[in-house]
Amino acid sequence: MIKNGDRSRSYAIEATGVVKSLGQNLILKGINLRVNYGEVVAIIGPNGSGKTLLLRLLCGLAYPDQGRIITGGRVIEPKAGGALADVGLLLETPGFLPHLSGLNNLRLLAMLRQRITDADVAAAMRQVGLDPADRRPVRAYSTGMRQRLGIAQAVMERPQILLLDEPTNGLDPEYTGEFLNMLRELRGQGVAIVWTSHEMEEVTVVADRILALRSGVLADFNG
Amino acid sequence: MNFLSMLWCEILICFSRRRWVAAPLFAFVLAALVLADIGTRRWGLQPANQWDILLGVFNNKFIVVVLLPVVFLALVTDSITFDTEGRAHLTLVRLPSRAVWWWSKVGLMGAASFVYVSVMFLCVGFTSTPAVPLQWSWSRLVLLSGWAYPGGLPISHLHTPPPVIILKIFGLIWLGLFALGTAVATLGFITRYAIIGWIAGAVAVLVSYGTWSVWGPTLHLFLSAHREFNGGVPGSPTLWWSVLLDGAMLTASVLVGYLFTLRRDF
Repeated sequence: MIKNGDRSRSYAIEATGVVKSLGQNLILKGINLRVNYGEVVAIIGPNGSGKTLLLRLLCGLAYPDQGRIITGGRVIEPKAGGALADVGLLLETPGFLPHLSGLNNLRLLAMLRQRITDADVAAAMRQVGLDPADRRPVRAYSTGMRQRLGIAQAVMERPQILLLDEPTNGLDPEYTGEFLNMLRELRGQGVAIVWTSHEMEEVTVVADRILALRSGVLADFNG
Repeated sequence: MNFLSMLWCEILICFSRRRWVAAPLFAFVLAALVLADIGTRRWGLQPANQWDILLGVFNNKFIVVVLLPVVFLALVTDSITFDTEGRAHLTLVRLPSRAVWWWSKVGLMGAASFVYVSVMFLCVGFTSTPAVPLQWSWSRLVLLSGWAYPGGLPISHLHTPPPVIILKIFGLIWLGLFALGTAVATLGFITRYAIIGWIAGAVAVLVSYGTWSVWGPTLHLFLSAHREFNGGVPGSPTLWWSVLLDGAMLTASVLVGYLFTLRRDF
């Protein structure tokens, strides 16, 4: 197995021949994907094309029926207690605890990795335009605020791989610009980013490569 | 390290829920009912002490076999399922493996059942103190009332110091709730609906109580440990048999849940 952090010889993400069905439906039909550190790859596709499922496979929340996935040097497979990738992840609806404040939600999550301090958590909230001193429970947050909190949790521990599923959903246009700038900064720091969207316009601003997921097959958008 | 962090995180989340206020309130109600019951009997509260109140609550078959589990299950049955949708996306990627996630859930169930039983015992004990004296030994009520003693202990147990009996009952109820809670939460996890687990658990304890009353303790699956302390039931199944049954149910639930965790798509 490739050691974590050994970037000189490995891809951040390497998926080979990934096949995945949900029930009787074959959703992904042999996905091949390689993402380098410091690269932003956008995956475009209509709703229901399997974009979210692909991100779940890349981080280990689901396992492929066939094929092999290595994310951040970890082989994603059910052996050895069910390996999970060490990534920053934002999927459709982040399940924050509705009765706790945004800050307390992030502090609880930060406890799991124990890589950052409370000050870092607060800084991540400020970075996405949220006030860490806001004591309101998350249930009182607007959709846009929850999405910002979701972005904050994904980036707060400075992961080397970031998987973002339609991250601009619910964001207001002003903050969307800031978010895109943040992605550029992260790319400059060597973070590998996989970003799914069905909005072509926004991904062209930042993405190094744009791939299209259609009928279960991943291909160059222009190809 | 990850396991302990996740477990601590789970415990904080579990007890941050307002529903846990129900536990002490429930204990106060039970203690008040038992105090009223003893108070209206022939000898009244005068010769009783705190052991009588504790036994009145925790050696009562219906309370222990039905009421305690049903309330406990309402508090914890969704502790796995609530973490399987959007929240799993946040927690799982912060752990090295799914196994850590599952073992922390099992640990949470152990901690939650321990806290629940502790709160119940403490609150019942606390509620009884204004009404009856605190004493180290058995009360005069035990000697006066004989076989009609409301605590339900066989006469042979009166040679054992009361703290030992209470400690055994505490441990057995804890293990029983740990096992039953884990089984029910695992069922909710597998079916994806906590309510299914809770209903199954509630039906199971009612059936279990019924079978105890009709056929005796050998068919009693849940919290079976309690039977040793009841004079009115056959004495063949012992404390260790009860521990074995509850341990088997816990082990089976944990293994099924573990295997399901490894294969499930989150």
